Amino acid sequence: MQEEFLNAYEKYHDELFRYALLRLRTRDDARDAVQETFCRAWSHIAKEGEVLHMRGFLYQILRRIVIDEYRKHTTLSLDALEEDGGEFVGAEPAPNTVAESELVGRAIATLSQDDQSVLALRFASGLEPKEMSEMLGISPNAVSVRIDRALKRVRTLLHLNVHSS
Amino acid sequence: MKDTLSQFLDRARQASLSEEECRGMRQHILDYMTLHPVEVRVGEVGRHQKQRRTRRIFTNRPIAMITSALIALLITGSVSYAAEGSLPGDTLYPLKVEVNERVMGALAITDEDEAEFALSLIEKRESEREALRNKGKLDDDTKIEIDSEVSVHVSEVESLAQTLRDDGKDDVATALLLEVRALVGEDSDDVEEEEGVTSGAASAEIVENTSSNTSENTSNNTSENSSTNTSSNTSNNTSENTSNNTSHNTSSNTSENTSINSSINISNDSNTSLLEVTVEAGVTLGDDD
Repeated sequence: MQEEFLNAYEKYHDELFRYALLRLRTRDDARDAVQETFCRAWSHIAKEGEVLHMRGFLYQILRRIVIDEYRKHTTLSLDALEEDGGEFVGAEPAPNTVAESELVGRAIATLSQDDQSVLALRFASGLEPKEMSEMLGISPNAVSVRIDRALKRVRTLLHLNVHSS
Repeated sequence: MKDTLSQFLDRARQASLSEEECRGMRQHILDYMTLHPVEVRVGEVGRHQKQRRTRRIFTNRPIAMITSALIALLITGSVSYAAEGSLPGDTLYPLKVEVNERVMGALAITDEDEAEFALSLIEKRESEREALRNKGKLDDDTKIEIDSEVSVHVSEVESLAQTLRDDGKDDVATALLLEVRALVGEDSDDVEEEEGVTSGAASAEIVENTSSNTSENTSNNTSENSSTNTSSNTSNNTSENTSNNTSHNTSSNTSENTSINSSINISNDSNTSLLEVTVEAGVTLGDDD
């Protein structure tokens, strides 16, 4: 059982990390969230036995951790984040894109939890709509519709941002 | 703008933990796992047991329990009510003795309760005997049956009284014994034999008891008091009677004895009438002589 769990770690830690990174926007937070996810998952397995859908189970935990994290930081305004310089670090971004990516990150952060989650699953974790539909319990079509809508909202936000600045 | 978003999402897609981070986290999780080991055995066994237990409770048992409870209710509810008024020789009489009274007996938990219950059974048998006699249906067989029943209950009370005495509840035990004497009277010869020895001592004790009761403890249970009073009287009475009887020819007047007996039973209700009865009994016996 331990081995299985470690295999799951090897298999899923990267996509979980990407999901967390898109949602939480800082490496440290994302890393902590992933670590916490595996710990919680393990203590559940140790008590209750094996889990059928490991991947979905892990995402479910991570999602909860992320939401908790959001609650903790609701007092932090976006301005404060901006002053911190925004730590979002993808795969070696070019210096001139840092400001832009920060903008996008902030725009996404203003979306609803569901929209963010859908975007993170689709683009950060790289799940296919079919996989997501199994995880979220809705049809692949509905998943696609949700993704499109979320993207549209981000674009609208970015447009507004551009026009206002 | 579309570019920025897609670029952002592309980069988000490419992000990953460094090897160092990955190893560190793995170690951390391993540590966590050793700290929180799997309770495979306990968990699985526990769950199985739970399932089995719940299955037993929720499938087999309730049906059995409900049906048995229904049957018990039906029997005790309708038939046993009818049986309660039955007399020896009636069809329902065995039900009364074997079912009703056993069920009631099961409700007696403490020794005192059990003794009280046995006493009530003796009382019942005596009243049955009385009822049968009034109907003129008291034949020798039922007489013997009732006698044996009563003697069983008497010995029950006596052994319970002994245990109570051992527990240091002397006065309760004495009261019980005296009540038995009061109920049974000098019906059977072997009880009579004992009576001469024990009841003398018992009645002496009671005299002491009652005197101390009235002078010291007014808070004492009145029912107990009254019961000891009556029983003390009757035991005095019986000891008198036994002395009478032993001096007399006992074989000549068994019917005489029973009639005295019944009058004693009635007179249990009040002390004064009891005294009168004693006198009467003495007179009749004396006349008889």
